[in-house]
Amino acid sequence: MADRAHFMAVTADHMDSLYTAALRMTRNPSDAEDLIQETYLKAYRGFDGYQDGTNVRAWLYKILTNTYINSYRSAQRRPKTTGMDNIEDLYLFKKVKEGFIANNGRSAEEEVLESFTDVEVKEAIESLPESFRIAVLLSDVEGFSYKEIAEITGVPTGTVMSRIYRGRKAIQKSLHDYAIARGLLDGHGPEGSVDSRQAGRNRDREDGSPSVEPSESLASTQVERVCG
Amino acid sequence: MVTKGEKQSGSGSRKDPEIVNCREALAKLYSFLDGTLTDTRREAVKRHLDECSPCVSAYGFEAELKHMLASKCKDHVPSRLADRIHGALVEEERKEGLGTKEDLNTDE
Repeated sequence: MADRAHFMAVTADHMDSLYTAALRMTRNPSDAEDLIQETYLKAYRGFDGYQDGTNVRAWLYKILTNTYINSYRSAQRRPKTTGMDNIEDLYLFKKVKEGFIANNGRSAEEEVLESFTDVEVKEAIESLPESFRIAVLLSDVEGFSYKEIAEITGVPTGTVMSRIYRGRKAIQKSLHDYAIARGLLDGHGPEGSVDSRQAGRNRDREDGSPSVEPSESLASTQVERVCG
Repeated sequence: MVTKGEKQSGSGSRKDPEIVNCREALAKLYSFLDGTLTDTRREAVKRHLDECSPCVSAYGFEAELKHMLASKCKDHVPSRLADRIHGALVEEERKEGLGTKEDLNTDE
């Protein structure tokens, strides 16, 4: 049996970030607490197989992710990606360039990015379909590489990249809605009529939201819109 | 994503294969920020950014956004949960200890 003191010495520093991930995965504090406890118990039981010097963080996240997928995922949270397909690249950046309203001397980009609250950012991430949520979480919040995420989640690197990119775009769309609600951005345009708070919370049900132009046709204009 | 045809069209008359245009720079934005470009490509993108303030602006925004997501998404383990986990591990250790003794007892 593993030495408990040694186990804690190696793993204790990761508890906060694992808990953060567990909260985003389960979207429920009570489930997150159970998930973390189960993850630590499993890690402790498997600690004899862990080699000092290997990536303990990635090892713990793999246990966390597997435990979540096997025990906590509910059927109704299966990926629904319909609403994510028509979001253009650099979505929020372009919206900020186009529709910034406030003007108090700071740059539009700064003003908008600083306006988001922790609750909004967490909601934007939690509103993603599960596989996208986990990919963005591991990448942008936890800082794992594509390769590490592929190892943790057991899917090919190309799939990981695609999930991260699409997930980021959907997050930008949620954040855009928050910026409109705050009056920082002009809400006119295809998505402007969507109530921002509803849009943020009910991303999974937003399949029927007003569609923007197909991304193919937007692609050709993107460079001009960014680079002038 | 950039196709080979687009790549050539942006390079103009210059023959350096590592000249990057705006379209390519933006297509590689996430690869750049996520650190997956080869050194050569990374340097080529950097050279483009040195000369192109609109692309720098887009890169800067996406980098800040990524940083913002990480910094505004932190939670801390409640102390009662940390206590609970320690308790569960102590219990696990105890059970394991008992298991070992029982194993020994079977020899009797």
